Amino acid sequence: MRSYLSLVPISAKVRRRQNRMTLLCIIISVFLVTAIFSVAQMSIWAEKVTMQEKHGSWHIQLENISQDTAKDIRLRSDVTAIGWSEVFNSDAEQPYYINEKKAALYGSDETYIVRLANALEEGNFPQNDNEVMLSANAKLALDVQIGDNVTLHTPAGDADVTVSGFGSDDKKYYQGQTYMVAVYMTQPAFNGLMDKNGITGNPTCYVQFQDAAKASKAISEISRQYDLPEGSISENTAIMGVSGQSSNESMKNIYGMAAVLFVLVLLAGVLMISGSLNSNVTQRTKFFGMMRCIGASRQQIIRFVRLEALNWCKTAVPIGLILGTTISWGICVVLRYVIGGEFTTMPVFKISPIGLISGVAVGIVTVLLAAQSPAKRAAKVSPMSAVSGNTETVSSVKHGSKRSLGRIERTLGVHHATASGKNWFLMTASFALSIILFLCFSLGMDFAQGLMPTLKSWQPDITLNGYRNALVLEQNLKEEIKGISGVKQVFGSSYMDSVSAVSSREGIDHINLESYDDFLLERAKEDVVQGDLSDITGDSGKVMTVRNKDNPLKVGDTLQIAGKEVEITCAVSSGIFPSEMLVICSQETFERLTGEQNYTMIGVQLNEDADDETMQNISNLADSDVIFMDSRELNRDSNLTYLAIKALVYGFLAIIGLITMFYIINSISISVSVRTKQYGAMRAVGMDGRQLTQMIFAEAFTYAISGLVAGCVIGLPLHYFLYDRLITQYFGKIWHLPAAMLSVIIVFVAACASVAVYAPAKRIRNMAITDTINEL
Amino acid sequence: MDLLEVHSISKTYGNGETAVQALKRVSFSVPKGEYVAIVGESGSGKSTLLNMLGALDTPTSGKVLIDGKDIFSMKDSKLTIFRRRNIGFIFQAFNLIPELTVEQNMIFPVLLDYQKPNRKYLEELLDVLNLKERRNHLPSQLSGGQQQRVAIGRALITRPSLILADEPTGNLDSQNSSEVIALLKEASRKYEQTIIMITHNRRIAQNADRVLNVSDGVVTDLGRAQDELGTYVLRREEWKGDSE
Repeated sequence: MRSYLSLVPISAKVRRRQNRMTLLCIIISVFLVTAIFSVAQMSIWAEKVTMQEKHGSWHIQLENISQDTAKDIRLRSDVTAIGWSEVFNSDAEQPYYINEKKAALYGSDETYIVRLANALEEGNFPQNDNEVMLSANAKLALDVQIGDNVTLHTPAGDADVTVSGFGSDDKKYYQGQTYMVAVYMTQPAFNGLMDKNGITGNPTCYVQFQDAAKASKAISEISRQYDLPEGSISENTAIMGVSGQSSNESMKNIYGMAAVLFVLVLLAGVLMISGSLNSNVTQRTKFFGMMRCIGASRQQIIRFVRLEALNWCKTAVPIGLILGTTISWGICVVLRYVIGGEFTTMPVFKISPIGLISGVAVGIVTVLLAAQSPAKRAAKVSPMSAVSGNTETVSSVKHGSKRSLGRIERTLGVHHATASGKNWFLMTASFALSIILFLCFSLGMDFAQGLMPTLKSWQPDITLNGYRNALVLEQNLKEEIKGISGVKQVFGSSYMDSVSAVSSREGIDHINLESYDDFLLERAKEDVVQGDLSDITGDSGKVMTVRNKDNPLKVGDTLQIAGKEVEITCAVSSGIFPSEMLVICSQETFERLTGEQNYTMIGVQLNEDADDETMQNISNLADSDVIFMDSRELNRDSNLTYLAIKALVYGFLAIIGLITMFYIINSISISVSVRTKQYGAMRAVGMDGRQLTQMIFAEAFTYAISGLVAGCVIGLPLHYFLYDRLITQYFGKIWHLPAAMLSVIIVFVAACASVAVYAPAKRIRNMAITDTINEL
Repeated sequence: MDLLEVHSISKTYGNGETAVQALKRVSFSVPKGEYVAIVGESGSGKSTLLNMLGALDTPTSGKVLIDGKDIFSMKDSKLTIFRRRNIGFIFQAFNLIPELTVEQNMIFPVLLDYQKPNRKYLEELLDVLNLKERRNHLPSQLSGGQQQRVAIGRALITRPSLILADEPTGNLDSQNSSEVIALLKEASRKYEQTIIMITHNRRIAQNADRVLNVSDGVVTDLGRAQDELGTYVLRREEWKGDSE
């Protein structure tokens, strides 16, 4: 033994049982943080791969620069590749066709397509001017394969070309639709075509750097060096963002949220460990008194307690890291192989440095922060407590128990809880805090649901939409599609924007009119936030609107549309088309008001047995002025994302629950430890084990009930406020008392309080009466 | 020269109607090397007095000088170091650190002072306290008498000039009590240390150089009990302490 601090590890070995709770608290904090941050980092890795697949692996794009400047930039040591690409007719407004479908034309080089945009999905990049690469939707839209010949129709003449491969640098845009096809050709072929049609090109240069950090630094350098005008350099925000280098605001928000998350876990960890350490110090008052007596200074005691806490990290941190990493692997396996979808790029058995570092950091920082107050408390122990055995932990009672709650043990229990105002306040506050967090976090689920309209029960798998929302889909097309095998449900909706209208509400001179067929009206019942939807059916002259902050129309307003009056009798939380000034009516009312019978959109829901033939059959029914959209994958992804958000929210609720439970158990245990002597005396004068348990039970439930009341009094208005701001305003849903959540909270708090009583009551009951009297 | 000088110390707990005066203007002095026993009824103020002498508690008024230094004028950090180096405590409940061995328990105060323990002195102490054979034992492996001898060793290791003992034999049987007191006395003689000890044991008090009686917060010097047994008997009426 070389220093008084050598006592720390010796003591830790002997006091292993007593330290179990503290160790567990540290392990949980480290485990939580490691798991959360490991999964976060792995998601970012996965996101990076997905982003590169979707958005390419280039970092910046430069407009209006010469070949010479590009060559110069290529010579920079931090640049790894440079590629070129150019697009014409991306909105398919000009009369360029590939076979019979509208065509967007691209002139690119191989570096861009293969290396920078990760665009090639199948086959090869065009090797000569007679070859083209088509977006993958061409397989369905044009029924072509690699090696087939296709005809490119341009105003200056047609050209026969061969399909060399499939792919696109904007997969999401072309995926699932058959309205238009992307045609990629070599730069010389593209330039030739453009010249023939009298169009001047303006290619964009794409630059890839060694990494995002270098790209971020190089942007301003390049801009200065080549005197590039503002706006000519733009970042690939998706790639820069996942690398943490983007100046894009939304990416910054994501990192901000991660930081908030870290602080939350840190606070929770400090609360947990601090409680546990406090209990530890309380139980050893006499030891610290003795230390002070034989010459330890306050500073030495503080150092001692801190080192003791850090010493636990030696075991707890590695265990937490191993547990956290293992659990994160488990989560990744589930995400990748069970949930799939956009999580298929999730790495599995990868060690996350950020996870490990933040785990260690949280372990050490929380322990040091948490040890602060107990260490000071230990240092304040009077040396006299070694001589007299007075623990000084029960504050002197200033007034006796005045309340009478029937049996004496219950009265005493309640008195113990309320005797010290500060203690009661702290316990009530910690219960209340958990309840408030529970209520607020549960809002996340409603918000996520609101954000994802694809979760609606009418969400179509296939959509046929008139180009620019034109009313081009005849009503009998709906019946035709219904007859195709594999189709479950078909519905139609008509839409007209900027319809002149006179309203009883001032300042409204036009509205956007949308119709629902019977199926949609039936489904809209789940979205009603005000009024009765049954009035809307048939040619009733009653209409509904969408309730949100952008829409001035309200229930009760009347409108004159084409000289006919309608009344808004109902409001729903969302519609199919953009919701500003939106009036929704039945198909019959729509026909009467506008004289139009065609649909703008036909939605198709498919059975599980729907196959490629089903898709082809539906696609064949879509004319060239109809956008065919396959949303199956998007729907699947949205459902999976919602599932992941659900898991995240429930995970967080579980963490809050766990922390609350630990805190309650610890606090009751401390309270009992402090009063051990008193309980011994009570047993000596005739209190039996059952009465003792009831007394502790009464104390625990006093905290639980007061916490519950405080939590609800503060939490419910806060819940209402947040709901109003986040859900009602954006998604139109009306606040209801979260009864199910409250029931869960009440059951949980009651269960925690009951569990917390068990161990201390058992400890006291099993202790000999003489021991409890002599115990500190 | 007097090692300890107590000048008119008073201690009052509480205030107003509930005020309790535990010590009333107590004054006395103890020369270096003297062995003083403090006797008195329970609640008479003995422990309060001892706490004041060890600077564990502060008086309401008055001064305590140890080696000429006013201990209550020192700041807490300085006082801690002074106590560490000059005062040794022995408790009724031993208060040993259960996870440390006999030897480690004894050297602990030296380590708190960031010093290296003097091995020769340690061996000597172990020898005097008859603990050589037990040096690697844990407190739980020792008898009560042996544990108290370890506590004495711990109090002596820093060679303090003043040893304060609060009923050190309170938890021991009579044979162990005599042994412990004999050792304490021998050690203090050898190292010229002053001992002030609270005891309820008349025989132990009789062995002291001087006996102080505390009654209702007032200290009376009963003189040298050991030399003048007759005087002691005569004054017995004044000492109404518990006796075995």
